[in-house]
Amino acid sequence: MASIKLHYINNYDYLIKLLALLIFCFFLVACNKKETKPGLTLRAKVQRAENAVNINTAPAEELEKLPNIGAKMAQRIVEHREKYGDFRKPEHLILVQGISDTRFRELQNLIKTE
Amino acid sequence: MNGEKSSKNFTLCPLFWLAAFFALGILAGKYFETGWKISLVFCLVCQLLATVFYKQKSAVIFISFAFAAAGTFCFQIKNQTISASRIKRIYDESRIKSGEPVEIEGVLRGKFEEAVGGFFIEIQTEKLIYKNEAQKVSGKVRLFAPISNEQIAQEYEQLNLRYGSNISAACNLVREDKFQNPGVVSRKEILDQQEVDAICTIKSPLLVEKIADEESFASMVWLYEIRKNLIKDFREKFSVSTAGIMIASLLGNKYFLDKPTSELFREGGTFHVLVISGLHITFIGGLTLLFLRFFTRRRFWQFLIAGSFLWAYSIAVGADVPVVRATIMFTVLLFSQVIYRTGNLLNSLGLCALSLLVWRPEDLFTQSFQLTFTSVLAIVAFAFPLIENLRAIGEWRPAVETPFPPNVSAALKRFCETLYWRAEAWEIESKQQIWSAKIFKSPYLKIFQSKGLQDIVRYLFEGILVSLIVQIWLLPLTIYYFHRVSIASILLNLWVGLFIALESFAAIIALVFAQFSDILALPLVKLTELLNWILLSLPLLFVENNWAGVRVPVYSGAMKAVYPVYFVPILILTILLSRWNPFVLISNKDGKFVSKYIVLFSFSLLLLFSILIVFHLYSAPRADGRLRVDFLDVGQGDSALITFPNGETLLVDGGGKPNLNNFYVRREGEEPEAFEPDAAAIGESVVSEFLWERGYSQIDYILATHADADHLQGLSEVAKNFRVRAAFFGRMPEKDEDFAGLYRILQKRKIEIFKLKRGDVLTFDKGIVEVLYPEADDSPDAVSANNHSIVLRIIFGTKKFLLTGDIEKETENFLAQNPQFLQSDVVKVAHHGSRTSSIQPFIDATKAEYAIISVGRTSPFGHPHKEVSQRWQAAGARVLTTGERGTISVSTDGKDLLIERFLR
Repeated sequence: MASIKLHYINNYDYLIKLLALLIFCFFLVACNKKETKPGLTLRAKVQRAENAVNINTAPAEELEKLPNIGAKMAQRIVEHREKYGDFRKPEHLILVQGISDTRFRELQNLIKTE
Repeated sequence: MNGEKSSKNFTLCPLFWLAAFFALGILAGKYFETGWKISLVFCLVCQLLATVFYKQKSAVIFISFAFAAAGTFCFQIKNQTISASRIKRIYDESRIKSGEPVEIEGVLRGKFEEAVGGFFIEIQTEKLIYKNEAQKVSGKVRLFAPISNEQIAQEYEQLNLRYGSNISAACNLVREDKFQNPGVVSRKEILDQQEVDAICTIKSPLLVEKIADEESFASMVWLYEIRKNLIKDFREKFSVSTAGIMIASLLGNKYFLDKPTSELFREGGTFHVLVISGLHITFIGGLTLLFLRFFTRRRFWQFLIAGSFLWAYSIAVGADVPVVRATIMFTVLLFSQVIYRTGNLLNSLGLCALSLLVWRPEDLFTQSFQLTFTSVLAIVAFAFPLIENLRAIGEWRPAVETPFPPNVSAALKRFCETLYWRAEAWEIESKQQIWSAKIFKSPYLKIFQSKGLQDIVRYLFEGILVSLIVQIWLLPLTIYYFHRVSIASILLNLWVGLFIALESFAAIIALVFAQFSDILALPLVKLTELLNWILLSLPLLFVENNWAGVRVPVYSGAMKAVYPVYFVPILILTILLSRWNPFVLISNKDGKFVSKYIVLFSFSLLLLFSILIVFHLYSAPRADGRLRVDFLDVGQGDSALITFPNGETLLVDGGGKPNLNNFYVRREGEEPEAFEPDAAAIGESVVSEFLWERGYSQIDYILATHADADHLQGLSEVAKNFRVRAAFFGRMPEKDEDFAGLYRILQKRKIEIFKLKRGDVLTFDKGIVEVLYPEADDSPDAVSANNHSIVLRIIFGTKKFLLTGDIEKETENFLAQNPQFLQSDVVKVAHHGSRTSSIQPFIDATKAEYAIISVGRTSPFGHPHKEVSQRWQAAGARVLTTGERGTISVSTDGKDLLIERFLR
């Protein structure tokens, strides 16, 4: 009988220890925070040309003058902004089907959104 | 003795049964769509009744019902109360269409998963901007950022995206099903299982902005950092194959596995060792425990340290559901040790299952949950008790509890003794006793023990036995999900398990050494590569000789019940095994006879069911005298299955991916190695799956119209997975890479090849196939481009079908010169509805009733072109596209014409 009793005491002992550990963990979690750092964008370094084309207002003919933009692509850009609203950032031009990252980089300093 | 008596009334594993009832409840919730409130009320009522009648036997029934209802409730409340702002719902209700440009904002949670050629991140979304209007959203999305050049890599480096970053990204979010054919797993379902609402590819780093680094646990960030660095180290030090295996099996990132290596594991039925799950957690946990025993014998500390190490590990490897599941399981088992409840493994397993199902009830329907639990159950409920009994028989010596020898057949007794009898132990023991006895044991023992063979043979026997039992339990699951039966996997699992463990040790030690000196690490790196070679050599031997396994189709319709019914004899055997006590003397002769009878009966039933599902005797559809053409939805590509009135099958084209990206992996001071990502091929994941679902293991004939990848590539997988009698080609351009690949497989499998040319006529029963194009050209340099496609007209009774491949204007023009050969009821529009085909004279000549366009929902080439559809419609044809309708099936008895679509 005695041995059985001992086991029960042991059980509670472990449970209390576990509880203490949990509290310790919470304490650890509460202290363990990383401070907030400011964000980053890659846009800052672009230098826009003075006569940059506004891709939100320019008609298709004007868009065609951009490097590597043909009549079809210009039309697509116009359709895109009619359907989904103005481009909020020049980079969003990449979302137009057919404009790749490389293609955009060739003309990114020639366009603006406002 | 008292304990044994009471066990008749009290089960030793109550939690197991409760978990089983909970699972049944979830199952019920899936099929009966009652509201969650009803289930809740039912659950509470049952609970109340159980409390009221707690002293009577009926309480057990009420408790069981209460748990089942709780299961239903848990499942329903999760499904019926999805917030309206969940991205999943926004897309399912078409408030935003899949593929439209949006901008999302959210926190990078979960995994940052590097891959060859890019990386994956998962974002917990908070805000979504659509048509310049912001809305609050929730749900996880997965983004893939391809890295195609050095500049892009650097820019992402600058952004320094990490766990806890708050970012915004402009992209075309996608949540849609592709390849909608019967038998093909829905993409949405896969995403839902991963708890990802939508996916997309980021076209450029310029579209990503980091708003801020949110507050997050430093330790989490630190764990992910370590993992990232380890992946980098593995990739720098080891070859593609070794690094892929190590990164997948130790760090839980499968994107570095190349296709040939993973196929080798799949074909041998051992792919599961590459996914971190129960096996790894048990291995690592067990190793940690073993290590800890050197330092402390207190179970509490062992539990604590091993537990926290395992949890840290499982979080670091990305906290995928299977890993977390295994870790919970291990923690529970370990914890039961701490509180000295070592009695019943089955009970602990029940607790795991119960807690997991409360957490994620829908997991019950996932492959990985079913596979994990079935295999663990097989081990815990069958393999361990069996081995325990065999050991008891083998080790028997007269004792107070077991005064008589085991009551089993002599052969079994000898066998067990050979494995388990310990002569030395008996010698020592008999010296201590005041009495002496001479025990006769197996005569082979002496040879065995003298050479130390016994231990090795025993380990081998136990390993194979466990592996075999697991395979038997998993048989219906592996067939249903993977369409694979592999007897070799019983052996290969042991081999792969052993060598992957050795390889891991070597690799880790090599990495530790490499921190100090590369020269020091070199021999270990070489050793790891050698172990990797040994690891792969046996599976390779099996695969090369076609011993690895066979692919089998599945039953559909009512015969599907054979898969769950398979478990009935297994269950009976398990229960009998749990009651088997080899030391009980015959007390009830009839009882023994009955149980023997039941064992025999269950075994024969099990055998019968396994023959039924392995040899799939009745899975293929019977010939019904109709000609049937199924146009599969293979995305951008063609594939059509023709079933002739006598049941013969001809597969015209097999789809395929137009451009699979292969990469080159460069390491310092080594030659660049080609890397083929382990992406599912259309021929395997769409065409073969469709054919298996139909119940076929044999496709009589395959035909490639021309050698473009989107027509021909998928046929390679079909030729690998099915028995094929012959293959037809128009031209055989041996220099074409895709064609050469298929040609090699055909030759290896000794499949006859026939060349077709204009004017040939093939007859299949009452179905006639006319070959209208191309002209013969036997030179090996002949190109097989769009305009050299085979054009077929299939005639049965008065009905005609025209299959055009990818022919363009010129060929159409040529064919339209003899319009009487073109007249057809159903036409597969040439070249996916491109404007380069379907000229007016050709359309007019066909006089088609149905024009079927085989094209994806969204095509990179803008197929089908609007004017083409309009032209067909103007000519009076109904235009159907596979992208919109899924599989389109047309059948005829020679007079009528029935059309079925997979999607309405």
